[in-house]
Amino acid sequence: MKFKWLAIALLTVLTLIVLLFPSFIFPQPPLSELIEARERLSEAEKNQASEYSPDLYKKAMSLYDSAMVAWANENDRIFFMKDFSSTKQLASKASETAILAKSTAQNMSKKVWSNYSKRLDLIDDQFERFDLKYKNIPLNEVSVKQLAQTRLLYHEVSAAYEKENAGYLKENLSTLEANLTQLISHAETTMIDFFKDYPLWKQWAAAGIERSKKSNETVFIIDKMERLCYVYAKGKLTHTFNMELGANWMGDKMLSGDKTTPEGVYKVVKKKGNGQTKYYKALLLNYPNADDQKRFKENKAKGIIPKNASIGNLIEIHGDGGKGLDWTDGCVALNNNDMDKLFALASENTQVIIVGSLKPLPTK
Amino acid sequence: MKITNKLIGALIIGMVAVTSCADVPQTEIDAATAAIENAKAAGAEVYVTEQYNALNDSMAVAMASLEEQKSKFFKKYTKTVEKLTQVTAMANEVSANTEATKEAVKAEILASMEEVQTLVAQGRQLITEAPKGKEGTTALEAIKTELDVVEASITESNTMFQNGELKPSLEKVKVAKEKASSINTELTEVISKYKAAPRRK
Repeated sequence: MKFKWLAIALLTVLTLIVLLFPSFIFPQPPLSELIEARERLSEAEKNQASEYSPDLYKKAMSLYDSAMVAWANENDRIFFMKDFSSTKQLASKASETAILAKSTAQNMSKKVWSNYSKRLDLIDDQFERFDLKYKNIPLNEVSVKQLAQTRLLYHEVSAAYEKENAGYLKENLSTLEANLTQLISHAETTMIDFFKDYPLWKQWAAAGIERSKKSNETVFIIDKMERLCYVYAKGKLTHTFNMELGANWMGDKMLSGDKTTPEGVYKVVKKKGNGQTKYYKALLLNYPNADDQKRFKENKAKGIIPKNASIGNLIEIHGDGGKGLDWTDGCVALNNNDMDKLFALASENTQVIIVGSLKPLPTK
Repeated sequence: MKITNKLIGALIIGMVAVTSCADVPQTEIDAATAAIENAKAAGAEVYVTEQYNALNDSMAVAMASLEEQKSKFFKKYTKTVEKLTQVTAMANEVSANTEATKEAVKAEILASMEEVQTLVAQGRQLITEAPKGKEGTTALEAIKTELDVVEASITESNTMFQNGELKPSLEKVKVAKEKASSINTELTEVISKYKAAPRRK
């Protein structure tokens, strides 16, 4: 009897405690900690932590998931056995890690975009210098295609930068840099190869100017690189004219049809006035000279040019120039006004020296 | 005696009654999870990223609400069910928005591809109209190569389109369109320059 009343009293007290003081029996669930962790994760993601601090972000997510699992596990226990301290710890760690992920992402993002910006600025410079320094270098078919592809890739990368498309930049910026470096390297090699004859050109030009001084003759000096025709009288520069060359102007002429303007010491052998040439007026040169013929034979013997190749002829300084690009088959073209002046200054046997460049290889 | 036993029984039943667990809303949880998976499979993470992230946040809140109720002595899942139902509806909306966005992107890609093809065709026609002869041949050859490269870029864009990589495809075709347009402008200038140049006698 007594026991029964004791049991009833105990049950009643327990029920009252549960009803009136539930927190005394049931520990506080870690809701606020997990809400905070979730908010921190959300902020980290808004700052692209998954992109710029992926390891920390993944760790924060993992801690959050572990906290939720721990919470679920504790909820499966009987009420007086629940302990959320581990869940709270995990949630708190998740918050801290998410905060760190966010700040790391912000710093890394600044560094990454600053790096992209510098690299693109460098690429801009490289393109500018390429266009300036190598604009007249005749490129082969492969290089022309590579240049076109590289320019298109550049536009794609620039558009990706404007749209803050980090994924595209990561994949393609290095390719663009590599392609451009290759193009520049090829152009530079071509230039170095072209300038190997510079000492000879310097010698020819100096001799021509000296001859003009000593013998009172007029001498024309053609600078292929600068696209300039200089007139020297009595050793002094009297006129400078712009001119245009063959489409494949670099290097010395090797055979007929190669569209290269020859290099060497020549002379005017015939003056062709209006009506005598299809290019307004023309000064026919004595290409091929003895050096040209010697070199042509040697190149044939070495197999550098085909056995049935012909050396070419009819290299002239003529009019119809002023087009702004290299278009002749190897001749030197001036605009008609300049051609009038040059024609008047020339006579048969006027020396014409054609050199690759009067200045040494540019270093920048 | 009987009354005492009945009283004890009533108290025990009362205890059990007040501590009884409401059913965990598993059906709603499964529905919300499935709807989110559908949204992900549709490409929500790529095409409507912010909406997708907001959806995941809402699901996390709903699951936290669930565990909160499970922690309690008096469990009541009414609000949890409400949250989960909202998540399901939100996920369905995100899926629909994803599809709509994808359709819009596809339409833009196809329209842009057609424009580029027209520009390339115009460019090739301009090349044939350029003065024959050596003047400008090299320049025109270089421009022709650029058109070839633009065409190749459209082929790449189309491959991406067929593979479902819609965003990269769109970016590529947009750049190709700009390039083709500038090529045609350049061609027109080149042709007019040569037409204005002194003619051969």
